[in-house]
Order: sequence, then structure tokens, then C-alpha cells
Amino acid sequence: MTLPGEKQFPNLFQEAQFAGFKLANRIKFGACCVSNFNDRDGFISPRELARTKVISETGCGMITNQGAYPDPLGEGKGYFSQIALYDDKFMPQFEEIAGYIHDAGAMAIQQILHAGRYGGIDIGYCVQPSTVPQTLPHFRPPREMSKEQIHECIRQHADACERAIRCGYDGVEVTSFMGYLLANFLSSFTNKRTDEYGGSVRNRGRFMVELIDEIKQTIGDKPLIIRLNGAELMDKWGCNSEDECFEQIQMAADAGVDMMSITVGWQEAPESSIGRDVAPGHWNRLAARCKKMLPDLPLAFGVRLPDPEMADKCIADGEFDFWEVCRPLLADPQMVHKARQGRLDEVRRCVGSLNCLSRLFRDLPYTCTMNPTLGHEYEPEYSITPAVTKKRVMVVGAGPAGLECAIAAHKRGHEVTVYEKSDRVGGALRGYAEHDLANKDDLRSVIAQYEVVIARLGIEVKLNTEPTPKMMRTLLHQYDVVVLATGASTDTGALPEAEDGAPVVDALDIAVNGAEVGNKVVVVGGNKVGLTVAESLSQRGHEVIIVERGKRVADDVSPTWKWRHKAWIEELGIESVTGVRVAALTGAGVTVMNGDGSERTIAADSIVLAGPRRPNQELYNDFLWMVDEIYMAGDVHAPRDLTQAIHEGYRLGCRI
Amino acid sequence: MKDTAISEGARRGMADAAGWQAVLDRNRALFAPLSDGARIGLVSRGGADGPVSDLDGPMLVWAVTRQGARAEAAAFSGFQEAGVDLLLVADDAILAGLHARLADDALPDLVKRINRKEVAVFYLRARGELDDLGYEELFDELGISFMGACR
Ligand SMILES: Cc1cc2nc3c(=O)[nH]c(=O)nc-3n(C[C@H](O)[C@H](O)[C@H](O)COP(=O)(O)O)c2cc1C
Ligand code: SF4
Repeated sequence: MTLPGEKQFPNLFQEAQFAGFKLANRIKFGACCVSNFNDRDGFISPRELARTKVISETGCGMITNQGAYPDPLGEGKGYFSQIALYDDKFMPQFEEIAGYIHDAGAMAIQQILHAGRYGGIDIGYCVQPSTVPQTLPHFRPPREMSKEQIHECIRQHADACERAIRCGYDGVEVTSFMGYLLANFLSSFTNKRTDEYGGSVRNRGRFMVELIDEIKQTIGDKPLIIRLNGAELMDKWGCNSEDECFEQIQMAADAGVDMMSITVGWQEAPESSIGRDVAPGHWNRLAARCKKMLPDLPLAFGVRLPDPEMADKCIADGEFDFWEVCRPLLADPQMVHKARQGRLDEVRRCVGSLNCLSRLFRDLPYTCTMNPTLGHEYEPEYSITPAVTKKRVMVVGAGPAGLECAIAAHKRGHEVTVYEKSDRVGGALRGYAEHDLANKDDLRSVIAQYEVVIARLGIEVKLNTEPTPKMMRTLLHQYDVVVLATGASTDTGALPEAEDGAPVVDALDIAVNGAEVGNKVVVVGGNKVGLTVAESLSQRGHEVIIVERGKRVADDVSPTWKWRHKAWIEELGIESVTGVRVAALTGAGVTVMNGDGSERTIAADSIVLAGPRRPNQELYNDFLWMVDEIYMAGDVHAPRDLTQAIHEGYRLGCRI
Repeated sequence: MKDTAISEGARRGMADAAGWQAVLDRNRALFAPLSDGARIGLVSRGGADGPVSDLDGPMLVWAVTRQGARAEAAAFSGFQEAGVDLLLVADDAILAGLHARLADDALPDLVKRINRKEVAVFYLRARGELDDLGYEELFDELGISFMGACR
């Protein structure tokens, strides 16, 4: 029987041949090598096996297993608990994963990843073609590779590939993503050698060609895939031009690789490549260029291309042959199945938060904003299991925390009713989505997905209904459980009382309810809420100044997004006055006190109160003696972010 | 990159140790957490499209001593021999602009350009060594710790 999605996306769900294998569709799971779930000594952990099992069952025709480093010294090891394949002792778990992938009917590919410039995490140095120092402080100082070391390194790659094939993988992959050893040799930024491995574009490509050759000779007729940059995004600093990248892509094809995968950017690149500020589909042109240059070489592509519809069209238009997906399947491992079944509107889209990568670079296991089970696949506490006792659950607040909890609890068999004081679901997230400068559709998609899912599940949502103690007294014994997901608000008590006539407006009122403000705006609070509103107002033509008590703005913003806000406020010309205390809110504006006690007034037509924030916990004590069980989820515990709201709501829903 | 590709204006800017000394004196607090022996270099890449990893030519050094940070003129002939902990690389136009602003404090402008990645920063020591030298606070002030990886 043809499923609706197979008709809707005929190219994506078309069977394909690759290197003698028949693939169920044209979707390749792109390596997300690093999870930091593994053992420190390179062994794959049970936690990783459980995650990989889920990945195997995503419905992709081809699955790439995370990149393993190939050398016993760990020069190629880029992450805290990256897996290794330099010895047969590591093989049993690799075999297990190949088995999972085959059981799911997919082609299994093993990636070998030598992190080069970003490697040597345990040994205090990294190896490179030349000793160009780091531009990010957390990486290790470089040592130049001798020719003997280059030959040894190539041999180690080939040996690791041979081991992968012995483990049952159908093919192997090497990667230059995102500035790893292969990229370091190819790039004029890091390759300053004067021997045959450096200098001209072709000489810089020699390491790659020898690597391809040695691997091909070692693995016989099994396919080799290579991931190369279509653009390094390091142009500001004299890296390879796009033309040079493509010359090297041609070299790889000439050397006999079986599939090309195009990636974009280096970790230290000054520009964004995969963040939310990059529009979906932005990089497709690089794939199209590659396909035009190498029409007969199978091409995989998917950088910041989260949408099956767009991917299907790209394949139809001949821009690439396989949609290579990574983060969208971390965010929703069911995405391919949902798309196939015509349930695309239920997909939890990757919102490009980069929470995953932020955590990796802090040496922490990665998590996903949208997928609270990622990394917890083998923990029963994170599974939706039938509730032993069916309960009547009242959820107060229809933001992400409340809705996550409601959906999980409903799926477990509880009878759930959501109460929401406004006329829409989404909570404060709606405000963020509408004022987000990066890509409004990402955050809007989260709310849209909730709307679809709660409607399909038939969860009752009472809009325009704000539970109060009085109302609760009329509902006594109608609910067994109350979940407070009432979020956070501006802590006006922590600010001086606004004088009569002070043009004060709450940031959430602007963000969620569209409250109007005057031309000259002072935003009190330079954290997430204040910045988002300030940027949006400034973009709409208001003159905005941010006043922040802390030493810096963006303190509560995630590490990979701080720079983005800083860049935006600079681009928009928003002045930020930091390290000052608000002394008065008056009709004239905001009076601030500097560290030395001096005061000045910043004139404003409107004063937007955006911080500090406080949790809305008032109902807790009111309801405590009116219901059997009472819990809280999300910002009502402590103001944080979308990730915490989703994760907490879900976990609570699994537990009630 | 050849030394000769650096403009006269940039050269003069880097040789103006007295002018830079005034900037360092005005920003004493910024350098206060750094230990005696910490050294930061500033070099030119020539034109805006000059390579940043292939340098040679004059270098301005901010050397931290017990008496405070001192501006010194030096020469750069390679990362290995540079003898600095951090190396800032700017193009001639930026250097000339900074030089023109020495009297009214060029540092905020430099920080802005670092954040915009118009000025490259190379770390010539391991993170642990930099922390031991007291750089953490300076990175925070410069916004460098915001820069993260993978965007
Ligand atoms: C957490 C994480 C780890 C990754 N690790 C690797 C890797 O080890 N090797 C690799 O070639 N690509 C790696 N990638 C890149 C992805 O395969 C993919 O190219 C990139 O995320 C862009 O595609 P997307 O927009 O579908 O996520 C990683 C991506 C993420 C998010
Ligand atoms: S953490 Fe964010 S960027 Fe990473 S997969 Fe999840 S939603 Fe996407």
C-alpha cells in the first residue's frame, strides 16, 4: 500500500541503488559522531547503544554511525568521550550497532573522524599540517606532522576502515566537517607546508588523495564516502576560496570516492553555518554546484535543510541525490516515519538552538531542546508507559512545559485537561517566536506542532480560563493532580515602584499581546527577554537603550547564542548601559545609579520592564490543600529556557 | 605575507609605543588580573584580504610587569618565536584607525572589532596556561569567551 507521504514526497521515498545496495529511500542519517555518552577510553557505552538503536530505526535508507578516531595516542580524539576504532578490542559494540542498522533494513556506514586541529583532547596538543595556532581558546596548541606521521595517520585511517568492514558495516566515510584533519590539510589557512603536502591546491589535496587511495585499497569493493566543505566560511582569514574547495572536491572524485557529501564551515568560522540565523535551504546552492560539476557521482547533502518538502524538491531538481539529515532526526527520530505516513504536521522540528553542540563543547553529553529522551533512551523514567493508576490531571498553563506534560500524561492513559488564561496556546514562547530575529518559523513550528498534536489526541484545552482559588474550590475532587506550568514574569518588586505617569509596560505584554510603545524605549533587563524585545523594537524603528544591572548583557543566553545577540544589538545600534542599578522609573524615563553612586536619567517615551524575572508560584500554596498531588514544571520552578520547559514538562508527564 | 606589504601608516601605528602606553594606562583595570609575564602581541596582515596565518613584520607588544602593562615595539617572525600568549591580527586600515584614536582610547574599538571577527585572535598557549596567567577575566571583558564554536 502506498502511504500518503510516499505520494507527497515521491523523490525522497524513492528506492535507490548505491554501490550495489538497494536502499529503501534517499535519506541518509548524517553522522552525529559525538554524543559524549561513551566511555572515556573510547568504548561505546550502553547509553550510546540505546541511542543508536533509536537512530537505526529512524527509517533512513542509509545510516552513518558516529565518527571514531583512528589512532591509539588520541591525537584524533576531538571530544570528551569520542569512540575509538584503533584496535580490535573496540569491535563488539560496533558490530552490535551494524546489526541494529541491518535489522532496520538500512545500509550501515561507519565514519572515521580524526579531529586534527580540534583533536588531542586528552593529551594537551593537537596535530596539523602546520603549526597555525588556535583561534578559539579551548582547543589545544598544534604540532606539525612529519611525513612519517602523515603516512602513519593514513595507515591508521585505513586500518580503522578495515575494522569497520569486519564489524559488518557496508561502507565507510571520512570527514572534513567542521575543520578536522582532512580540512586542515586542504585549507590554505592551516596548511603552510613547503613539501609536497602543502603549497598549491593540488598539493594540499595530496593527503586526501593518498587517504582515499589507501582506504580503497584496504576495503576492496566496499564504498567510501567523503565529506568535504563546499565553503569553509573562513574567507575573512584567508582560507580556501569556494573555487579551491570545488577543485579539491573534483580531486576526491577523480581519486575514486563512491559518494560525496557536502558540508559547510569550520568550528571557528566567523560566520554562521547551521544556527537558527541561517535560513533553511541557504546552502543548497553548494550542493547544486557540486551536482552540476559531478553529475555521475552520488551526492548527499542536508546542511540546515530541516524540511522534507524542500529536500524532496531538491532531489527532483537534481541538486543532490540523498538528503543527509542529522539534527532534524535528533529532534524527532520519528520524522521520516511521520513524513511517510502523511503526518508531517506532527514533526517536532529542529529549531536550530544548538543546545546539542553547546553541550559537546562543554564536555557534557549532548541533549536536544526538542527531544527530552535523547540520551535517556534506556532509562524507563523517560519512557511513556501505561499509567498503573489512571488519574484526572489538571494542567495550568498552555506553554511548552504544560503542553509537554499534558501530552505525555495523556499518552499514558491519564485524563488531562489544560487550563489557559489567554485565548491561545504557546505561552511566552509565542512572544519569543514573533520577535525572534533569527527565524520566526522555527519557534512558531513548535507551537503549531503542539496545536496539531493536542487536537489529534483530543486533549481538552480550556482557553480564556484562569484557575483561581475560588474556582478551584468549585472543582474540589474533580482532579487528582494539578500541574502548575504558569511560567515566570517580570519581578516588579525587585525594581523601584513606578511613579505616577511613568510610561511602564511589561516586556511580555509587548511580546505576547502586542502592546504598543513610544518611539524612545528604555528596556530594563538585558537578558533573553529584554534582548529579544529590544531587538525586535529596534528593527521596527524604535530607538532602544538597554539598562542592565549585571556587568554584561545576555547572561542567561546559551553559549552558542550569546555572540548572536551581541552582534545583533551592535548591528541595530542598540546602546546597552551595564553595571547600573535602576534608581527610579519616572515620567521622564529611567534613572540609573552607577557604581560610584552618581545618577543620571535616560529619557524614554516607554519603559519596558524585562527583568529580573520571577517564577509565578502563587497558586502553589493556594492549591496545596485542595488536591491530592501538586507539581510544577518549567519556568514556574525558576525562569530558564525552552529546553528546560520541554524536558521538565515531559519528565513530569512520564512520572504522574 | 611579506613585511613590505604592510603600509607605512600601520607601521607608524605599531611603532608608537608611547601612544599605546597611554591607552594601557587608561585601561589599567582591564590588565590588572594578568600576571607578571603575560604578553599580548598586535600585528598587521597588510590589506584586508591578507592572510592571517602567514605573517611577518613589526609587532606591538603589551607586556605585563609588576608595574603594570607596558607597550613595546618588537618584531614578529613566526608564531613559534613570537613570545606572546595572544596574538591579535588586524589589517592596515584597522590599525591606522586604532592609531588615530589612541588619544581618546582605541581599546573599545579594538574589542568591537575582535567581536566582529575583523581582528583575529590567536591563542599561543594552552587554555590552562592562559588561565594561570589570569586571562579568564580579560577574555570575559573582551567578549572572547562568548564566541563559542560551531554556529
Ligand atoms: C551533535 C552533532 C555532532 C556532529 N558530529 C559530526 C561528526 O562527527 N562528523 C561529521 O561529519 N558531522 C558531524 N555533525 C554534522 C552533521 O552530520 C551535519 O552535517 C550538520 O549537523 C548539518 O546538518 P543538519 O542541519 O541536518 O544538522 C554533527 C552535528 C551535530 C549536531
Ligand atoms: S538541540 Fe537544537 S539544534 Fe540541536 S538538534 Fe535539538 S533542536 Fe536542533
